[in-house]
Amino acid sequence: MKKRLPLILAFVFGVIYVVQYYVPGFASTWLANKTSDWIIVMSFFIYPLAIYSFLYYHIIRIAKQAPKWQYSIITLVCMIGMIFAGFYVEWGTNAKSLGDKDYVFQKLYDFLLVPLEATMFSLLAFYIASAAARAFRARNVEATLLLITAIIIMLSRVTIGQAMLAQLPAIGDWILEWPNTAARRAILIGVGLGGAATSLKILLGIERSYLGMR
Amino acid sequence: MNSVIAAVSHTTFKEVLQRMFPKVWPLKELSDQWWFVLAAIGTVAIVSYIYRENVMFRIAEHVLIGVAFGYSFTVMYFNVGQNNFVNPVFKEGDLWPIVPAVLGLMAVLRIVPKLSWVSRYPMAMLIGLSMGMALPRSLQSTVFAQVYGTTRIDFTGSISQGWPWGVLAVVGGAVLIVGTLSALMYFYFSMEHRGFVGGTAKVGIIFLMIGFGASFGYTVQARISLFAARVLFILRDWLGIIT
Amino acid sequence: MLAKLLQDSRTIYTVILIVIIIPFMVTLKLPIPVPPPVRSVFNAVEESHERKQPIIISFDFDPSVAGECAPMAKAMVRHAFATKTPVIGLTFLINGANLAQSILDQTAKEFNEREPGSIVYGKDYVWLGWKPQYDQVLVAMGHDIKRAFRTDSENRSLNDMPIFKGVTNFDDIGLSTSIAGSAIPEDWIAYTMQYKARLAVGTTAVSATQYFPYMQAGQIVGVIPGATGAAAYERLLVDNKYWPEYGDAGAMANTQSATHIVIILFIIIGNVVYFIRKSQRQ
Repeated sequence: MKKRLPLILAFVFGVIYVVQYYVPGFASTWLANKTSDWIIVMSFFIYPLAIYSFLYYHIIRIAKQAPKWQYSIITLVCMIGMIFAGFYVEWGTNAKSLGDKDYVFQKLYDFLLVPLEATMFSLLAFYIASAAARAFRARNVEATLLLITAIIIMLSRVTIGQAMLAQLPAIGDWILEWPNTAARRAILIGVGLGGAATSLKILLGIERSYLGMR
Repeated sequence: MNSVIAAVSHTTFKEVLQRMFPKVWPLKELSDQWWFVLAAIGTVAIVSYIYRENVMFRIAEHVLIGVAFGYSFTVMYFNVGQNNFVNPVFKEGDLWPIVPAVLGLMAVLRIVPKLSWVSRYPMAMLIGLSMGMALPRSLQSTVFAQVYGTTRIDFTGSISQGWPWGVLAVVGGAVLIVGTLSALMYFYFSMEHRGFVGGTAKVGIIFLMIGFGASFGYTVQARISLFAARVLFILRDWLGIIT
Repeated sequence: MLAKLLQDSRTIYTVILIVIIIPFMVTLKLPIPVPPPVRSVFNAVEESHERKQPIIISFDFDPSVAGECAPMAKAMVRHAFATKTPVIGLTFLINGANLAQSILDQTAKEFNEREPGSIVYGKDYVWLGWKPQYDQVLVAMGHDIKRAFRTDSENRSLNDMPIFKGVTNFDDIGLSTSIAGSAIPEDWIAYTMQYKARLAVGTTAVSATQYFPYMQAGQIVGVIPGATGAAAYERLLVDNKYWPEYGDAGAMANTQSATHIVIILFIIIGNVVYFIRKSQRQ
């Protein structure tokens, strides 16, 4: 029962929701609404798993004094500070909302979270330039085609490209609209068929890794 | 209490600094100015990584992780927990949300080794539900609609646009059909790529390279934009060098 | 010598840093090209205004891609407010919730500073907040949007809001736009197709090319690709006199041009050196 019942549940719920797609009416609407309500509440109560993983990792690092354990203290202090700020703003002030710009929670978000996260991902600008200079070589016909297309698209999207050749944006649009669409469509169809096959395998119990079973 | 905290944090600190640095008094509210300085320090700390890994970067990285997690917890509670569980159950008296709450807590039992089997039931329901919802919808949007799109190219409408864009659109339509079929042939591995199949697959590779080239061209733009936005923040919002 | 310089990554980083910073100081106004997919999204918002239907903007991006997605979100909200098209804002990405709310509130504040009382919360825009499990939420929205969310982010009932008068599901929405840096728009397309929702996508440039098949198949009306797409949308706002100046994306146009030229030069120089060395070895 511990192994068979979950597989039966997955199959039954899967079939119900496949049928829900094809059969309109009151039952379909009721199912869609109830599912949405319940799944949202379930997500909130599953969230403690994430909290547990996060706290466990950092507290164990501090307790065992793992290398560079001091950074874990910084992480935990910042986490507690942000949670405190949020609850303080909602429960302890006259803020119109959690996102009220005059209060500390939104300020921490705007001036700490946003710049740090944005800058972290913006470092890729340097790496793409480095890769372009050192790795992108026209070793064969296919690579040459890739590079030529990339250069045309790069120039056609920016102001200097249009200044160099007035038709360049239209050429870029044509490449994106036709040959690029062809390639992307083939990939999309392949991915769609693969996804459908995986979904069927999970529903039929052939794929069981999500339950921790082989 | 709130007014005391506000008075001490904003007014007194501001007056002290105004007396200490009368000539360097910023035009913005002091509290806002310090927030911009904090953001700028964080930005420079992260960018310093491109020179080499250092303590400032590590501190900034761990601050980001802590703040991000704290933020997501807070939003999760107020947007979902309070609005969808606490208020309906405790203020409106609707007891139905208790059922998914119990199912969610069953899933959390995964962390207890002896009771982890209990978590399989709600996870199986969730996965079955998600797969059941995804299967017909993804087939419809990624397979059937795409095949339909390949067949609905309006050649006659394009011709009426004349030379050159009408003719180019007709050529484009033909390119789309040939390209889609040949690229699909490239991904078909159940037959050896020899003869007609091999030749078609080679044509497919050409289209795939054009697609990847277009993607690379756009990727360069994307990455540059992200850093340019940070530079705009430093130069305009913090230093005020540009408007 | 050039080859040796290109081998050192710090030289490349320094050049890129300088090339990104300098153009911000230069006032050079070159026309921004407007691709047809961006114009289609613009026209779709105009049609929503003519049909007197609200639009949904799903701010499915977080601060990591805000450099590209925030300008296009801001431009769309400005367009909607300028044409008095009501905006229903929501997000399916938790880290972007407050960013999205700031965009809506700040833009409303800008319009109210120019014309007091012109944008009213609950009538001209509403912020529904974040909800998890967006696939189920999208299916529920296809039946009844108010039922899917029930309240806004601050627990105010949606039934009392004028913006939702006459709005039940996607049939009553002029345009639904998902602005994202991830694959969420693909799920928007998949989960709302059966409801025949009118969709548009705003996305980072990295993902832009994968939405062209959906556009050709008629599943979406248009795509706003990255910061250059956002700059094009800002140009349309300026040309149609909905807003007097370009936003952040327009400000980055010169930098984009300069950096693209430099990277193309890097690629060309790298390949020239490669071919010279290859012929020398042979």
